[in-house]
Amino acid sequence: MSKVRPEELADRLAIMDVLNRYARGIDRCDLAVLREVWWPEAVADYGTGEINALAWSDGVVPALAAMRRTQHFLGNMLIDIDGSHATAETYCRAWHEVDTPEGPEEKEVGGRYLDRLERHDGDWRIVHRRYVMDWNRNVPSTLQWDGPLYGTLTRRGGRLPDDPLYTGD
Amino acid sequence: MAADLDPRVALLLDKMACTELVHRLARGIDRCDADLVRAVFHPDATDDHGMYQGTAADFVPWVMEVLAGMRRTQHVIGNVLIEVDGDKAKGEAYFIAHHHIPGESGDNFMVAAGRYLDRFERRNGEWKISHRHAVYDWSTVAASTDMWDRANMPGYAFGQRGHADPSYTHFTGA
Repeated sequence: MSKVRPEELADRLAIMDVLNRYARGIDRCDLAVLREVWWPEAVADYGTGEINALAWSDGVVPALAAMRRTQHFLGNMLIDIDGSHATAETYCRAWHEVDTPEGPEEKEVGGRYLDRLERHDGDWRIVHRRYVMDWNRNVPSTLQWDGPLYGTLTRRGGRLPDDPLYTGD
Repeated sequence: MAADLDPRVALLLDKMACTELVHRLARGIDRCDADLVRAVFHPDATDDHGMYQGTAADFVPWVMEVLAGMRRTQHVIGNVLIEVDGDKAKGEAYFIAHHHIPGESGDNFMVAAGRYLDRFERRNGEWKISHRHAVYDWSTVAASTDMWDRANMPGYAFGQRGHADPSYTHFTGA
């Protein structure tokens, strides 16, 4: 599985880019970016059954926006390419800060995306995604925003349109 | 490697092949797949994990026994630097390794982070690892706060050791 071949270099880089753009769409709550990683007929199954991925995207953005903040840290990517089809396994360490009745909580989830991707007219996108959960960790939030260290780091991540990515600040 | 490749492209391919080996080794460890771990090493490769120092061939059964004492692991690879010099390469790969370990008073969740200092060699056109040195940077341990009742969540895919993990049929299936 998953050997790097010269003729597949551009395809491999394009696939890695699609996978990374998913994380940007999710963490910035940028629905336009998120919708563009899927082909229209794409199917997503995060554990509760298969659903059209565009419909899933429409629903997940408000759910993410209800959280204080998230970071989807993508690591290892193993990619098998077969012509205009590809399969990929991507490690993800997804971190969320959410409000609970007991106060803000950090919820961290380790898992993997098992994807099938297709290339049409030179454009790679996901056609099928399954999420596999490996572990999770849940603790009262320890986030700090002021003090001698954190107080100096004044440019903070946000969601569309407030993130420095969009404001240029 | 095809001789007509732009040297910049050839360098990119070599770096990618080495990075791929780091990712495949993490997959082999997390799935407790001895064959997968063995396949990324040259036959005469060596390994230094601190508590284990020796041949890669003997590292495989050693690490499988260590893993058997844990419920599950996930080795997330981050920054990967590869320097290529002909048919040899050196790599530094950051890792954050998550371990769910049974303890006397409940399960613990232990995170160990560090860097894999790897040496790679290309033999007969194929890159493999000739030496791995694990360097440890930090760790943290706390009682597990995992909240999934894996036996009673039908429809959800949970990571597993061995070929029961969905990634196997994912890569080989239709």
